[in-house]
Amino acid sequence: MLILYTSLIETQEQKSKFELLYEKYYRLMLYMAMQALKDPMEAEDAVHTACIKIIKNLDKVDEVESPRTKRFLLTIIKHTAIDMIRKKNREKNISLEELEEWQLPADEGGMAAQSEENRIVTAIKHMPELYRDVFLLKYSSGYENREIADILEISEASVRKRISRGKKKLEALLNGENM
Amino acid sequence: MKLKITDELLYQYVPKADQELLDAVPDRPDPGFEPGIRHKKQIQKLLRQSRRPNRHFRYMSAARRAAVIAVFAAAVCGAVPAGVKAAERFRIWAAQQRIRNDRIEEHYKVEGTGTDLLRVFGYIPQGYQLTEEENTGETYTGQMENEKGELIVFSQAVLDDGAMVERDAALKDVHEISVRGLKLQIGIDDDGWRSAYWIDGNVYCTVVAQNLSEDELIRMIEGMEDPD
Repeated sequence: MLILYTSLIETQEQKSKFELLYEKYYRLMLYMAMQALKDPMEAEDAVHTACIKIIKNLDKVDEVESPRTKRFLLTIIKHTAIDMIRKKNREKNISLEELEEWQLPADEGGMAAQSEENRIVTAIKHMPELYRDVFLLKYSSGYENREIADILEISEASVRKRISRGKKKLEALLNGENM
Repeated sequence: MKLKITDELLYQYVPKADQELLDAVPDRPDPGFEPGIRHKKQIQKLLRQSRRPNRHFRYMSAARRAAVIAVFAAAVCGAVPAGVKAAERFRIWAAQQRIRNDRIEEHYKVEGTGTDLLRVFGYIPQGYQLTEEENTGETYTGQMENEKGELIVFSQAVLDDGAMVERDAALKDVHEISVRGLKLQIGIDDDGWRSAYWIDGNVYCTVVAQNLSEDELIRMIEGMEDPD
């Protein structure tokens, strides 16, 4: 399996890129995986799986040291960890939605009095990751729906669905409506 | 006045949210544990292979695969007594069956070659209009929307032979039906949307609908037709 995926690295430039990415972000990926999974062995498995996904999507990485690349890697490692949690929870019949509640933080310093911009930014930051990561990849990193589908290993239809649903939920939240 | 979430608004504010989220993530944090030898070897292997010229490790990959198979075959056939050999074969077969069954549950596998045709919808449910579509020749995606803002989202993607695609979410009330000679999986996903997934030749197809009956969803799929 590893041999199959590393054979996807087609040029010398891309291979060096993976090595540079590893040197820069490896500890961060381990840290994020450990935060999500709370188990060192599972965190190692998640990082290994994430590395293979990164190799598959190396064409989407421009500069090694950039916010866009950091977001790309964080998204991959987080979703790899989420997939592992989801598989475990399926066995225990726990829905992932039960683990993700969309709540704005308790009124920090009078949120009601905050500017519109701060309200919107805060609401986006506290979106469930299912929707937030699609938003970040699309509206901040500038990826197309097709690229987001590749990164998250879902269909484009799901990308569109999450964008649409995320917008509606964000709108309802900011307008104080029931979701 | 109610706030309307538009793409323009999101392009303006999501980068700010992104920057704040990234700033909160430490640059080189301590994972809290030292990776084990097994993991280090796995990563070192990936790095070693990434440093080799493509042509070299393609040959090496094939040669290594052949060598592993040859060694394994020699070990099984030559060195292991018949009884142990049979037990080992059964254990491997059982493990492969478990892996295969697990993967079939979550994945489709494209077998062989077939049509690469991206089909259009001859039937659109009443009240819906096609509001977005994009056809690249390799993918055809889009969405339909009704007056209430309820969506039907679709995508078709031509896959490479032997590709595996993962269903996007766990489905409840999953059942398989046959439409136009194709096997569809229909169910309700985590968000309550009715979803249908199927493979048509080399094309992986998905239709997910926010509020549509199964009959209407099936009618849409039945009405898919070859493009002009």
